[in-house]
Amino acid sequence: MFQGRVVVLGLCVVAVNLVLLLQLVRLAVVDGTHHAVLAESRLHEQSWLPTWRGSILDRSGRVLARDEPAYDVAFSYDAITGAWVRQRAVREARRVAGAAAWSAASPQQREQLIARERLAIQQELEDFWSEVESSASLQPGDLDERRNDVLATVQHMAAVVWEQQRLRHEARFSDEDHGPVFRPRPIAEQEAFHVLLPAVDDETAITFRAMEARLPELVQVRHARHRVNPYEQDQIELDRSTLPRGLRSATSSSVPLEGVAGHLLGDVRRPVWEEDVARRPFRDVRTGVVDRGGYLLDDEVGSGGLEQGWENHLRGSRGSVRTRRDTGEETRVAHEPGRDLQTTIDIDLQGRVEAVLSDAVGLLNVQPWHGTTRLDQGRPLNGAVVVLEIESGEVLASASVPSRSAGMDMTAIEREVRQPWADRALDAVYPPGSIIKPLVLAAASAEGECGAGTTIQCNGHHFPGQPGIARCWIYRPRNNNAVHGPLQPAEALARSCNCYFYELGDRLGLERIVDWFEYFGLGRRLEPGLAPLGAEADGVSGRGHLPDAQQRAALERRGEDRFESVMLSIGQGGVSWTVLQAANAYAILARGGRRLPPTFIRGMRASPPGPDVLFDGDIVDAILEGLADAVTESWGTGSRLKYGPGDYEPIFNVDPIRVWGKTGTAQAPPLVTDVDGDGTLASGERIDGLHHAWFVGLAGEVTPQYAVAVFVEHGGSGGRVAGPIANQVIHALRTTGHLGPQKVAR
Amino acid sequence: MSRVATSWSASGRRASSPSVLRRLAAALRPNPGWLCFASALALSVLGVAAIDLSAPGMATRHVVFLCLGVLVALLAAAPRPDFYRRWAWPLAVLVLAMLVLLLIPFVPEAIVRPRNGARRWISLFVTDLQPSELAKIVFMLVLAASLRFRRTHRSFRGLLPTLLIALVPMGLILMEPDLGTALLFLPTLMAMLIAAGARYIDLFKIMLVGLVLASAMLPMLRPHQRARIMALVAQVQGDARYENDIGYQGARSMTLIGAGGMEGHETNHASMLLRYNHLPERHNDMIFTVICARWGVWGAIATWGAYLTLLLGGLLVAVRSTDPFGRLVAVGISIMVMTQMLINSGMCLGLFPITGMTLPFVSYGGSSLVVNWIMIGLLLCIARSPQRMVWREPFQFSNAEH
Repeated sequence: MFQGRVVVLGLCVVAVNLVLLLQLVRLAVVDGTHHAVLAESRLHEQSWLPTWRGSILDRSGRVLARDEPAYDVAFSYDAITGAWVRQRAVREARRVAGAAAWSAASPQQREQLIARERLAIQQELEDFWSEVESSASLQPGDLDERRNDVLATVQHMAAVVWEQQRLRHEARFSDEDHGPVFRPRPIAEQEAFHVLLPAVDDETAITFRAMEARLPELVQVRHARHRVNPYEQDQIELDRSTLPRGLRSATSSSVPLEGVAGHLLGDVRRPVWEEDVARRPFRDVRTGVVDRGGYLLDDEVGSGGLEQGWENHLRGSRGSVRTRRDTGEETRVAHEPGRDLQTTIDIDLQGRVEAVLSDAVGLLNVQPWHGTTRLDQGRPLNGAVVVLEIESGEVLASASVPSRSAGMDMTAIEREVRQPWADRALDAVYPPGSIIKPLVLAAASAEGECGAGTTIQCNGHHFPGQPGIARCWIYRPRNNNAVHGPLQPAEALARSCNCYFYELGDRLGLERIVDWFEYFGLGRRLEPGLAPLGAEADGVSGRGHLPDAQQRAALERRGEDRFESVMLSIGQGGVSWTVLQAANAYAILARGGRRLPPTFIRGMRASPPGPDVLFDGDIVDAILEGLADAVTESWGTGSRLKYGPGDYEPIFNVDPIRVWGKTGTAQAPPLVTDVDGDGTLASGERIDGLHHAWFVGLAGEVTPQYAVAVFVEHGGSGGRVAGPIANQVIHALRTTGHLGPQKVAR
Repeated sequence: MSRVATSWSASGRRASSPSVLRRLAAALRPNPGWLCFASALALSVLGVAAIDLSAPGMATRHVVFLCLGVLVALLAAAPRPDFYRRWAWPLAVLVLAMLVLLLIPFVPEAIVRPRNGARRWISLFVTDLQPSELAKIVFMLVLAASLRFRRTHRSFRGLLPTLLIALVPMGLILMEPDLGTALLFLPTLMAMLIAAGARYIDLFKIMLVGLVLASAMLPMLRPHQRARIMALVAQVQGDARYENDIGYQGARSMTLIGAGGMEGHETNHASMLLRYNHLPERHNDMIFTVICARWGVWGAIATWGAYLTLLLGGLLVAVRSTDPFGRLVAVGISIMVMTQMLINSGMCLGLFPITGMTLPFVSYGGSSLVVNWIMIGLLLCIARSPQRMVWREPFQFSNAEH
């Protein structure tokens, strides 16, 4: 029986062993490939190679922004936090004590040994930072600020990552009361080096290379690339002989420029923000999948303008080196540089337009002939200009004042008042005022509500028996309540008669007016690729207002729809647009109704929003005639500057170039500004009763070739304030060869 | 025939103090004990190769301990089993004293140095001694000595004093704490009780009671122990959620065993795989994984084959021996080695929790290697003791007896 029991025991062992064998077969044979792949993958080490950002070019290939090689100096996170002191002290204490004594020491003894080393090492780190500060010639405190920035960013990132991990951990173990405790592990950024000194010059880089050789665990000098804008500083030679009197001189002057096309180009910033990482993470936290184009903390990311709008196009993706740890064998995947972006901008013209708008020229400063009494003489105004090629819809220039660069030098209060970061050409929206009138005329004609010969009587006000509302601009007591009388379309435009357009608006009705405004591109973003990536929240920016179906229904319910359509027809009421939209609408008119979405990128354009309506040729001729009369006939609103009684001068002096134009003087919200000049912006400090000045013109040798939209914020009269700027822009088109005898094919 | 006679006289009562050499010579005669010896030697050699692969430079030290182990085994084989039976209780007192010493809080650290919060080692200056290793052997000797002629264990109540013998060292070892070694006593105890003729129904009852007690103890487990059990359950189910946490060691081990496939990998590649998969304890508790990574499924089967040969040898020694003490010790040793092997490989395969148990003869570690070889020595000693030397009724029983 003993033998029998021994056999039973033996069989038990064999049975258990068989279970183990089954598991062995399961691991090695059934799932063998999976395990082999996993185990082999750990033999490889992956590191990433930098890429570079594509250049931004102007229409003739001149570089507006490019990446250039430079050196970055990066510092270990432990050096930034100071955690290095303890790590180093531990190593030093162990070395001093010797391995045997160290392992024999109790924790308390070890702490004592560490404390003995600590002070000296603390001092060493402090000396290191002051050496860094002096080698990089930084302002005192500047380095601390940068270190704190990195600390704050990384700590915030870590907190977010850990919180996500903790939530996942808890979700995972929610079915168990006593799952393992969640222990946060350092995130990659806490073990990385961070750039505190970007783009140092070669000499500084050499100093830091020496420092790196001495203290490789604290500092690293890296090859990097940095964004350079060749037109950051520029100089334009400007002919002053065509300027209005007072600014005019026989000699030309040199106008210094800063940050040409800054708003349009945008710039790059680093380190990236958390939103960037959230938008396109380098490594998906859940799946671990790597996107080579994703963001790591030290990356550059476009900020504003084309740099931001075309981020994915410009960005490129990293290369990689996969090293086999055992053999050292390397597999390289080359980086993919970002693609270049050729814009439609003519940087020459852009520079000239910006020069025209500069303080050195003075057209955008309050001048005596502006007729503005509420603003100080010489006060710099804000404004914008867009130049559009009619045939192609390409934007040649887009300028906004003040520029981003100018904003850098402003005081806080100036910045608050003038808002230099706003792109007044593409994003900011303004009431159109009278420049909307040609659109109404074309719309009414297309709807059969008027023709090229329709006569409408101006009685000074639109609604019979209600002289207090919907008045013509001429119908005022100081003009003895003058009226325009019977008008034909062209003259109505040239004189900018309100009543004529009130009547057309009334005939069209609210619904059709809004539909036609939409046809002309109001109420939506026009340009591809410039929609700001993060600013979708601000729904109006770049789009403008139009009464939507709901608002229209509300107006109808209150019986105000008729009054609203009358107001919309002169560009007041619930309508606003951008300067670009204005230029685009006039380009559509000049094309007889054909729409081409404007573009900043060569060979790239948004698809047209729908089928085009071609306007009756007669009405287009009438509109052009009215626009031409407006700037040529003495009674046109955009024809002349008045310096004094009987002292006139034409606004446009661009012969033989022909100009068609429309002025607009739109009621503006109060100008919030530091009225008392005490350097603070108290509530209620504002100037009322100001108007925005508009001038939208078409210019060409025989027929319109370019649409030029000029806007001056709170500038006053459209003709007197914006007109001379449009005149100079047309001169600039000539100087740069777009118009006139030197015209070259571009 | 003359050699048999020599052996007779050498171990007979008449020769009161025969020389050690003559006893050794007697032990050298072929018997199933040498099957165990050969298996153990093969496993030890395999261990040296695997240690050299996973922790270069440590193999030399291991070889020294191996030689020492073999020497000690031969020495241990020299006395008659009677000798161990007589010394079983005094040795038990000594080992218990050492186990208690470990637990006395004020013992200076020069003598008992805690590692990772566990007080398991007594410093002998040259090397450290782990009393729980000695306890394993002494426990079997005591158990065998107490069980050999008793019949009390054939009743349920009679089993209780026997259980006490096991529970005292187990309790002390548990307090070190060293759960793994403590748990090793249970299967050995069971096996020896089975061999000693305890009724299956009684053992079944004990196991049932033990299970109930164990599940009642479950809430008293420390959080890390409970987490490990959960991690293990998840791991067996193929759930990877613990694998960077407490399941790390098991997951890494399973990956490497899987990666070894049927044939394994050549030396350099295997060592790189081990190194960069960061297998913890690879020369020690995880040596089975190293074998699988290097020699694949075939290597594992060969290893297990060696153990089963050892088991076969050990059980044959037991069956051939007529000395009840020897029989029980042989069964105990065989089962203890096998249990340790099964738990260790099960742990590497991800079936058992990571308890810090070594793979006998193969894992790195001087004191466990020497103790394992002492067990081989005991087997040899029992195997060569004369079979016909029976004083009393042979150790036999039938189920009819009560």
